[in-house]
Amino acid sequence: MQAESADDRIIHNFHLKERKRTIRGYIVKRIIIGIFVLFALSVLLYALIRIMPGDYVQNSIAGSGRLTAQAKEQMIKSYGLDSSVGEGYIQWITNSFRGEFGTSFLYKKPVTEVISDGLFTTMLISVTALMIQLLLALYLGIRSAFEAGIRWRLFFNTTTVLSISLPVFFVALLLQKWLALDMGLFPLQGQVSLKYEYTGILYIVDVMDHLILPILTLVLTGAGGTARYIKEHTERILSSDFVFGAITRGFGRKQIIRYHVLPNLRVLLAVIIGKEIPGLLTRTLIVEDVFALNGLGTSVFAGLAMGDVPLIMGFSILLAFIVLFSALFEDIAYALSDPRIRLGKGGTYYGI
Amino acid sequence: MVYKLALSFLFILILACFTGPLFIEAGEYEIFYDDGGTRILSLQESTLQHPLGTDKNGRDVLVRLLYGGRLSLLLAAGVMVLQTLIGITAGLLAGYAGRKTDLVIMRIVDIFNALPDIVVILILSALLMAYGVSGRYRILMLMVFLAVFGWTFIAKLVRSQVLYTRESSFMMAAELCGIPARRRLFVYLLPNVLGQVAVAIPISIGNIILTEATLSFLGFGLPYPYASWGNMLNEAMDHSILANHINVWFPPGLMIVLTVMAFHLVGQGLKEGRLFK
Repeated sequence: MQAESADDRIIHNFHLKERKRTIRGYIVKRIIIGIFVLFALSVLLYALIRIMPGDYVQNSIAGSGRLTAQAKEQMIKSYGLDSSVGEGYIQWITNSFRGEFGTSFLYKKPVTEVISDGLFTTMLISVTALMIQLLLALYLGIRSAFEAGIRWRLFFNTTTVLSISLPVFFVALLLQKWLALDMGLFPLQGQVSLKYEYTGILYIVDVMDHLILPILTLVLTGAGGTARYIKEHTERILSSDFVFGAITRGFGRKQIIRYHVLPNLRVLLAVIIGKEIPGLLTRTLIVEDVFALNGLGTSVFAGLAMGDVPLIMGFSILLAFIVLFSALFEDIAYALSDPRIRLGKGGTYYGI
Repeated sequence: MVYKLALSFLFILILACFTGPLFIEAGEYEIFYDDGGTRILSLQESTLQHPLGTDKNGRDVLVRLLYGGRLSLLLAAGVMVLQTLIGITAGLLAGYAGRKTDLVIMRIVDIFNALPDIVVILILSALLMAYGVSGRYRILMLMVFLAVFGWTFIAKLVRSQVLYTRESSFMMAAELCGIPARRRLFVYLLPNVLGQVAVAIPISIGNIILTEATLSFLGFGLPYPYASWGNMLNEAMDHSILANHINVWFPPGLMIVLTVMAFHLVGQGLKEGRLFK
């Protein structure tokens, strides 16, 4: 190897500094765009929800017999549904800048409270599932990139295609039928046992026991796609010159994985997580619905059916925020990993 | 081998779903009664007349499976055509027209990718239901919604392919020969892009079927009287049906899995160029 000359080093450092600056500008630009997108989204969603003809007052008094016109008017006024769509939106956005997303019509609690109540379960199962899914996918993906045998390839292709094609709700139902009803290994649904009131550690164990099937559902439906992605990239790494060099120097499989494959995959993991979040969230909501957990999905689906404007707005903004954030995360991770990406020259990079 | 198997499965499925209903006298929501004509034959085990039994409302599961498959496939094909048209147009514009157009289109792509699509489609469907829109029209609207949320990946694909192809020497030669931009775009660039799009189509159809089934399962997809694999599975939310009447909910689930899998395999075979070897 030839030693770097001083000039080279200066040029190199200059480029490094330049690159850092552009990346910072890039991040700022992305955040500003993200804020604009959020704003546009909130206008669109608010208008859509408010135009919905079955408003909350109509839906909630549907079953409760007669109500005087005066009382009805009072109800509409107290929920702030008497204002025009434009006024209502301005009121909503000024409040939400102060962190107040209004009171849920359905639950009679602040929206932030309803969402944070549900968010715990949602986060718990989705994060746990994501971790297990990533570990499984890493193992399967890296191993299958090394194995050349027909048997392993068949196994890998079959399981991943199956995992991609399985609908979440069908897996959930199958697991309920097979493991909960037929074998009696796990509780069928719910988050805690209703028969017994556990406290302390037993309570945690009880909740864990209820969450195993939902998490398993998420892992089974998510691992295939991730494993394929990892396999593809591992194969790309393995075909590069430095791995060939390592092999000629007598490195074994373990060393190549440890010193070449894993370090290169590290940046990719951020990208995978960023890509995975939106889909994972949707799947989590459906799983919560099927298993009747006290998560976000259950409360939001109920709110949607009733026309609970503040709750749906708060939830949609949260979801959009998460999705935008993950896109940003993915972009930046990719930009940091690849200096060849032309930044700010019109051709910004949009993942693969 | 596997790819050919998948292709033939799809062929048989399409044949069965589109010709099957022609030979069946019963409609998709025909309710069957016992011989006296007084009692609804609900939740029957499989018999000669009803090979897969009947569901809670006394409708034949096999008949609904065929009708549901027909509707799902038609819907997916419609969505695919729509989203390919939007995607190719947007991608060509973004890739060829230059910076500002590119930026605007790609920001729109970003917005659509950021939109929580299932939730927005749920809201839109709730809106249509509340207006009391007829079922047929709601199917059309569902198609539009799915296409509006699905075109972005095609636009990205086309754009990146255009950015790559427009630098090639034959494009330069075309420009030097004075061929007008429109002809360069549609005669020189487009055919080079279409191959990539065609390869992506089967996998995308599989994903559309999956999304539609999910929406239908939640009750916001294909409207009620119409049969769909997704809303047939919804009956299994009733635990007694889940436990005791596997013939009602397992076949539609299996059909979703097999169909989506077959589309994925065909797409993979196309991508690797091994489908027709």
